[in-house]
Amino acid sequence: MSALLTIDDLAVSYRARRERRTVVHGVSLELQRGEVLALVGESGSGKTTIGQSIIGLLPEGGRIERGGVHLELAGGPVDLTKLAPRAMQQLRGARVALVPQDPGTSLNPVQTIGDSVAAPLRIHRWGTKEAIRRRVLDLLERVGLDDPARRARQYPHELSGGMRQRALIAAAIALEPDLIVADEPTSALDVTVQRRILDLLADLRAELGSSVLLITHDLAVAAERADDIAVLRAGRLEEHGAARTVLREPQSDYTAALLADAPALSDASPRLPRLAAQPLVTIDALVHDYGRRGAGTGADAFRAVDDVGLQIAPGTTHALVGESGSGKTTIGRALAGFHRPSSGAIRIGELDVLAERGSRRLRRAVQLVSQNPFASLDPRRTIGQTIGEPLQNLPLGDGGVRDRRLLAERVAAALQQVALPAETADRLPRELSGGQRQRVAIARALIIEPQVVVLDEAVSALDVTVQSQILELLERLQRELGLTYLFITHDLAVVRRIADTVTVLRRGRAVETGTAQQVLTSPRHEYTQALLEAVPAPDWLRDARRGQEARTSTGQLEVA
Amino acid sequence: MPYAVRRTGQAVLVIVATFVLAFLLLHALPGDAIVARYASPELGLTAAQLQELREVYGADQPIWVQLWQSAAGFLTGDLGTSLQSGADVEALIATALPSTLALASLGFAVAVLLAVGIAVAATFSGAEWLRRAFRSLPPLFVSIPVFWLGIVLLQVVSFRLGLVPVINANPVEALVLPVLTIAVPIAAPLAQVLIRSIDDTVAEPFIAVARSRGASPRWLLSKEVARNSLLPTLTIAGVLFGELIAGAVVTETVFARTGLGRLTQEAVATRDIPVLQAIVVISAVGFVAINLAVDLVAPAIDPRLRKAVHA
Repeated sequence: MSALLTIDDLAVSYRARRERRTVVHGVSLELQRGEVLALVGESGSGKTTIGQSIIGLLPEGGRIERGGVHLELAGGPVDLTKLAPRAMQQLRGARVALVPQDPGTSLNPVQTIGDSVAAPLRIHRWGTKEAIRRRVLDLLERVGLDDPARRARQYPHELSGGMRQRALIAAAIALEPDLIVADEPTSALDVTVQRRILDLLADLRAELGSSVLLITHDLAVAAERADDIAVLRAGRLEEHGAARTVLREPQSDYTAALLADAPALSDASPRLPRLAAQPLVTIDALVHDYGRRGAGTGADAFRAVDDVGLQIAPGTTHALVGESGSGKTTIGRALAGFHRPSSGAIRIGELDVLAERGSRRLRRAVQLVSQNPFASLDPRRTIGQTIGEPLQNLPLGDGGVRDRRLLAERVAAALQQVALPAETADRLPRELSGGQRQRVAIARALIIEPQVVVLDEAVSALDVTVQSQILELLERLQRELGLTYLFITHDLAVVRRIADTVTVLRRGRAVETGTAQQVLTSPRHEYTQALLEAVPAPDWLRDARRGQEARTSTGQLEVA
Repeated sequence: MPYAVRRTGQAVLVIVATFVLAFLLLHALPGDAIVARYASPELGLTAAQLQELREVYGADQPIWVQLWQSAAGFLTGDLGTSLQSGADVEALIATALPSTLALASLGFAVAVLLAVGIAVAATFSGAEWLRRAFRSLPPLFVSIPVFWLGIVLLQVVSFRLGLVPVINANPVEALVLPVLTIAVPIAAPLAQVLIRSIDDTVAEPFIAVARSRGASPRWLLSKEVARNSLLPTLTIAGVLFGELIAGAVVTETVFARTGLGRLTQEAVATRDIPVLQAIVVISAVGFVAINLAVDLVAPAIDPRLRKAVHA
């Protein structure tokens, strides 16, 4: 079997503010015909740049410095880096196709799904109008969209993320390409949808005999789906080999560190629950309706949270797990006092959250850290101003601070708490990395010493190494300050690492609640089982987890 | 379709409000129209004669009665009588309107062509220096005053180069320079908005995806970018209609053309209130009608707006 794609000493640079910066430093790779090569790395590792170089679509300012990208085609080998623009245009979409990252923005919003899927066929003059129409319907059916004729007439905003990604895949395979570049194809999707999309890609690859270059930040996805794995770091190849070898006997320290940090690949047991007599947070029969014409009436009304109750013991972490639209953020925001639920009760200790909504006492009891560390900090204020602001808002004598020197001291202490140097106070958000910004967001939440912190997907936007550091920080702060966390996440692997107790949500209802150990190792509800099953993992890890589960259940038997 | 009905209702409301407001403002001017027109010493009219004139024109009635009579007149097509010439206002408008409509619609069409040409050249032309050159055109055009452009065009194109006659010109020749004069200041903001929205669209991920399917620049422009960039431009185009009315005033004066703009200028100079009232209402109707049309067409361009329309 010969290599379909050979990347030979590829170097790529970008022009940024008048100077050229090399972002890929001589990477060599091989992808065999009909196989899957995963390109794994953190943000800034150059994985997407390599994908763009292959498909000839580097953004403005990007340039291939040296090296070649050789594709073995029926008509003989071609070097994609040396091809004339027009010849490259003819290859794109026909021999080399792209499955993009974010199905939400990757379809033309004013074009029907049918037209989007037909685009490659029309561009490459594949056949008559009627032939293309029939081919589009075939393709839509092939990627598992129900009622293809109707879907073809619909617009992207009428379809779910998973359905849009299916349509994009249909367009990618329309001309049966030799190579499919899939750039983070499932990063924007829920875990159960991710599984179905990856299954679809695997089926199509087998059927068409295409090769897939799978670009991903998620080692677990790579581990489950790839024949070979290439690990990139800062534009250099760290490791390249068969998936099993790379994962089980990594040669580079960096790969080993990545594997250790990837929560999905850990075979550690979930936390043993720490129990307390009295819960600190009690949520009781919470209901939240969204809708224009009052609660529960009218066609627009939508019940986001439906009769959810949970309790959190002081100093522990309760994870709220669910896919998009499950109501987890709505519950978190209700606990933080951001909106009034339609009915139900929320208490933090003696405090009635709903009655105290908007009061200083509630602000001091509960704080929120949100997902996006880029959007949650004011770009024009220094980090010191941002962290100090809550103290200035509280009244004097109720935790408020006005004295500038005292304020600076408190800010410095808060920065130290989240392991940032004191000089950070004078910086602006744009000068910090994503992980540093999230530390700042945590420092801002902690400076008024709340009892409860709502962490809404607080580590979801971060690279695994950074994610691991932030989780460690959260654990340390919990130990030292006795904090209670409501940890909202879609990622079951993170739950395994940090949670004491778990509630699994589906469409606003709590389908299962219990200790992390119990829910993750012996789930009772079929939805929880499906969620766990969908978490990508290579087979050997699944086997290891099953063994663990067996041990746990015998342990329980002995206790009983 | 309830959305269309609601928007049309709002449009009618705007026109009624404009009518009332214009009427009240025009009548709030110091001294009434009769005094302004006839009280000059050369005419030597006595106070009694002025009072008589007031009664003839109905200016002695309370303002609410006058408003009501004027409104009733507008609804039946009787726009009143010009104080200046004594002619029926509807006759004055009927002579002025066609020439202005020709000027405005041609001017607008040329502006659109100019804007689209500049925007496409500024975003899709091959060489970077060419794109930059075209990008600097709209700011330049915006800063050109209409009257100055009109005079320069007259002087250079017509008198010096003799390319287009303005004296004894046939109707087509007579339109060339005025149309250009009115088109440039409208093309500039249009081109700016269009360039901006093409830039925004080109940066969208779906454009990269279309390129990955093998799309040529031509395909990108016509199938992917055009429709997405149209909507913001269309909205601005509706607003720019006001600019067109203002442009007509200056252009028609500079080129000594008959038309609504010229009529406006004269009516303002002589404080011919019935004529002004009619012009304000006609402009409002045009402005509202065009923006209503834009609002009703928008859902046809962007399917995402259709949902909101039905709700």
